[in-house]
Amino acid sequence: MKMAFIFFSVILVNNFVLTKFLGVESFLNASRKVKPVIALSSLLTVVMVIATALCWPLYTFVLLPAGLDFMSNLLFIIIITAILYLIAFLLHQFVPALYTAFKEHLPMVITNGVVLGVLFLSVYTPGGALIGYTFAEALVYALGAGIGFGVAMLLFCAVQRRLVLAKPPKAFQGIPITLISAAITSLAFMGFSGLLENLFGIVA
Amino acid sequence: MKKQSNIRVFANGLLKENPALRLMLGVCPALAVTTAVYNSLGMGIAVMIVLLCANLLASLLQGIIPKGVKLPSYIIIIATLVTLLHMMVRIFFPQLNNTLGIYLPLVTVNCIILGRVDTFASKNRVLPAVLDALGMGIGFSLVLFIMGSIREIFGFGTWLGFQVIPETIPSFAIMTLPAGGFFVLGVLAALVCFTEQMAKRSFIKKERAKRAEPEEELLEEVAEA
Repeated sequence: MKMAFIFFSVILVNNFVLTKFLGVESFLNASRKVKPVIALSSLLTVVMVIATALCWPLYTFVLLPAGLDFMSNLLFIIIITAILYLIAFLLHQFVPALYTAFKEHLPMVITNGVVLGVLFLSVYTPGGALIGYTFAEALVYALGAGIGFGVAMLLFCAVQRRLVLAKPPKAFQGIPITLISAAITSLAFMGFSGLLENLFGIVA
Repeated sequence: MKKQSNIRVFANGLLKENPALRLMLGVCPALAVTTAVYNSLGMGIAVMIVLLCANLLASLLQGIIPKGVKLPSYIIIIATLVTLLHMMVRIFFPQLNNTLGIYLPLVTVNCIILGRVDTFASKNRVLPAVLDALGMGIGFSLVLFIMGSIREIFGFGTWLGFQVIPETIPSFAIMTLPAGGFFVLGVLAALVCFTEQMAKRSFIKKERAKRAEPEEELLEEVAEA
């Protein structure tokens, strides 16, 4: 029950992009085609789940007992970069066609706050308080965050397609109208708040 | 790469290539922490300090870092700087640390820093790299400061904690929500576009007037003759 609550809450209520602004850069610069959007969000989901699976035990069994939790930031980012380079290597070996496209977007994927953000929110909170997610819950959280990111990206992709046909005032063309429509999408997601508490009967 | 004057490098980040308004870089903290002026200033200064140190180091280390591991090295430099900064903030400004929460360590993955280090500082000498960091940092802080002011005044009726709008007037709650962040940044970006378009229009008018003048003189001369 708690798993389902965590999973849906991170997709709908606490959506990473629209309420926490993690990964908002790639959200706003996303292309209007569906395929690259799906590719990016599935890649990020995979990276997030692997990173959580690696970082949770490392944090709980190594950093925390040794009192080195201030190092988590450094450790997490090294693990994320290593995973991405590993994926790049695998692509280079087996799917060379995808490799060049991936390599081009690598800096953008590393600086996408989603992956580091999910680690901070599910494994270790820099504010100090422990979250207390178990390993399985942390994995579900990471999976939900990835799917939530994909859902928001796809919805916004559809909004952007409409924007091509719309004719905003001259000063609003380009970036400003994208931001305003993101604001409206975010408002729409606010409608989900309170939904899950009533559905599952759990107070978050 | 074209050689730019130092002043131009510094001024670039303020408006022409302002990271948050023009390039849509680093908007994550710009949207997330700007519900109050104090947080916004703290975040702006934090980003500026890290950017300054990272640019300085990357500029000094150019040629030493092998090309194949450029990106990971920069990431580790930035992450180390952010960890140091986070420890200091935790000791000296505990309140700021609490309000910024995860967004302070998330400066590590701020696009502005990696972007500037990778595209500018690693190819330039120390002085331009430092000036670039200062310009970009100040430009970013300025946007954060303006956003924080707007959102705090309308959302809470205060500015830096002082009551500006009397409490009897109900506050504009959407400003404190995530949607308000997107909205304010959008309107700011539109405002910059608008002023630029107006400036361009007046410039074109002036140029046309300049070009028209000689013709009139010529006509007068012809008439006199």
